[in-house]
Amino acid sequence: MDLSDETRIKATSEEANEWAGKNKSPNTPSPNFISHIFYLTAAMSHYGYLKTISTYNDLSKVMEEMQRHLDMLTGDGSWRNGPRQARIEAAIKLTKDEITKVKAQQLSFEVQLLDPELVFQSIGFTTFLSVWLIRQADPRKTHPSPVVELPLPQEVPMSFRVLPEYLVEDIVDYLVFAVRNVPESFALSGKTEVMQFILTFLTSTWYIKNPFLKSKINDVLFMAIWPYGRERNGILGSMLNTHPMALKHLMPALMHFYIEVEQTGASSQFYDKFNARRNISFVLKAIWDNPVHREALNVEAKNVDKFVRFVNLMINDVTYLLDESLSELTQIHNIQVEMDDKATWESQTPEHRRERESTLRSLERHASSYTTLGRSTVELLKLFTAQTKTPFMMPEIVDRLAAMLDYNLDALAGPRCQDLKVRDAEKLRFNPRALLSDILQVFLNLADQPEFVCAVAGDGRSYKKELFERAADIAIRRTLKSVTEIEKLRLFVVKVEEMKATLEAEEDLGEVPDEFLDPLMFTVMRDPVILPSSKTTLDRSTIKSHLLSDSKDPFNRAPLSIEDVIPNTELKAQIDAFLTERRKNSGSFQQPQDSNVNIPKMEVD
Amino acid sequence: MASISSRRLAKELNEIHAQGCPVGIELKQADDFVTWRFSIEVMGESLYKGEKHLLQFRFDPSYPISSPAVQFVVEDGREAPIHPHVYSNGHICASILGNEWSPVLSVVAVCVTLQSMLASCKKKERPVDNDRYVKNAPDNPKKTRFHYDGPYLFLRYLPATATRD
Repeated sequence: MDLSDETRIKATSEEANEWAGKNKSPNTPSPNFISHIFYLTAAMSHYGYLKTISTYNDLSKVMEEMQRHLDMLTGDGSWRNGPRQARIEAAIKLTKDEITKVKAQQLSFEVQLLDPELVFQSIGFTTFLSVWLIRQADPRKTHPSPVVELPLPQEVPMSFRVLPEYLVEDIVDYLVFAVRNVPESFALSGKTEVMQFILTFLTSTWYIKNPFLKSKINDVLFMAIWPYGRERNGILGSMLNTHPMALKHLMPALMHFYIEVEQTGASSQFYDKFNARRNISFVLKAIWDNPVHREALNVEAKNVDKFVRFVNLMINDVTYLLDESLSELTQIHNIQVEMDDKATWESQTPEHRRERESTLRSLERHASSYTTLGRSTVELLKLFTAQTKTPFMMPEIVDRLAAMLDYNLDALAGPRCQDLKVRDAEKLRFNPRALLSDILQVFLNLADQPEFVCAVAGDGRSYKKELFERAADIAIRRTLKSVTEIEKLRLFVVKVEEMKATLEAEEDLGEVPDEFLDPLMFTVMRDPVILPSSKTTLDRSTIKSHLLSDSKDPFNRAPLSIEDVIPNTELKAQIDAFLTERRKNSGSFQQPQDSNVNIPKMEVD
Repeated sequence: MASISSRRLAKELNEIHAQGCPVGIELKQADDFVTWRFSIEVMGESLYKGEKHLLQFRFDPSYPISSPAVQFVVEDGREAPIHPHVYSNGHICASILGNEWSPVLSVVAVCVTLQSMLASCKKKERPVDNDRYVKNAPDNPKKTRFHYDGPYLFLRYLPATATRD
């Protein structure tokens, strides 16, 4: 077999050639018969079986495409009895004939590919290959007995890196195919191996270079918890909640991968990222009720820097996805209103109407993905804020979290919420009540955190007392929340209002010397730090939130990490002294102010 | 009460009121800390002589850590300047509004950059992919780089078993 042109798991072709050269020796005995058979089977399966599967998968894409074409042709049926009727009917017939043909092809592929004996043999070989692959990465080279220790060492052995990438790809592609189409075939054997394979490479993602492959491993995990037949938790659901390896490594693996997909570097990274995270959130939900997994999460949350990055990404996603879905829903609403006005609509040119209709259809397509994804991320936020609150209270997180929640509460319960009324909301997977209920739950989860109260009070953009009252009314009317919960929410608003008054009083510090102000945010610095390369001083929370999205010094674009900043202790002391002084003054100020209030009364008397 | 962004925006606004805008740039609307509008005109000899365009800034609560959403206003008969980096829906393809954004930049700095982008233009034309882009463009230009492909594949792996039951 000539492998010189094959992509390697994690090595350049030069590295691979060098390695091959170094390890070639005339004295090496030729591989034995069993080895020959093993490598030949791997190659046969790569060129034969898996190629056929990929052709079969392409057929479903063709099918989807044609179905969409058919929908487009059919449209709203307004062409019937018009001059174009004959032409469109002919086109529809043509498409339907094509669909029948493709369907027949699909069925014949299935007969072959899903043959029980072949599937049984292939699952056996694929899981064997996966065990063999883990053993190549296992530093003790003993897997599966004893089982490999996770995560794998940081250093990836060259003997693993030069293996052809298609070995991993074939395992993953076959698992995707088999778990999706014949999950019941895993009833007898293969589950443990599949789980070990997933956990090994999701905890130790640096063993594989190709981001798509890693995403596909994550896809296998997702499909493995998808219900089939009478198995409500998919092929792996119950194992993930009982097997010691899963209990120990699944939670860290999911968090690790959630963060890692942020930078896949691929041009299509945008939806790959959300696709992967949506899968992760499904898996998290499937294991959420398990106290052992929750304990693993608490352990993870102790690694504050990492967990804050995770939380930051989650907030970014919710912000983006909700903003996107709500703005698309508003546009859909507007077009629907336009169409409802029959008189004006009929008077538009046919071109204009066609254009608006096609815009509407494409909006609907997008909106349903965004609403689904947005909803699942909010659910995740809801679960996490109930379980572990501290990471959400970090200064670089909490203000953004509060602003985002207020903003979305305003969209769902504020005066503009009528704009979200669309027909067929279920078709768009848009459930405003459930979403509102989840967002309120996040507020309730965090209501007892002083930092959160402060952040909501400090959000001058969307926060309004009335907004929470409206939301509470809706929640009662639609029985989204219990009376106790609503009471808790009202209490929270009272606390926020109090805090707001305090903040307003504090904000009124009068003239603040410029050097005490953060040069980017113009707020008084509480923890001034010096950036090592530009020598600029700014508040730690400002540079922290900047570094979450851009790891450079904003003033000169030099690389920067938060560990490198130098506390400006001298300035901090000055600011603290200044604040104490001002507070003292404004405190003494308040007395006469209060008595002032009474003066006019006395005059009236 | 200040949200994260409003302190900074208040400061920028004060400076504009105190010092005025650079030549050719005029503040038209800044009633809140959500949307600001400026008129922008290229002074001296250029392809855009005599044209006045309206530039709109939208700020999210994390400004200036995240960039403002900037576009030319195309409503009430207004048109975006014809430029190889300006789409007919007003969206602008400029790196400082995307990955080159830095919180050190200000609203006025963005205006000046865009003004000089117009001033240095050699040929009035729309971007090559104008029609395709405008047709599918998101409402908010900041989301543009995400929109090379439809997000449809999200559901690609919804297993067949879901419908089989």
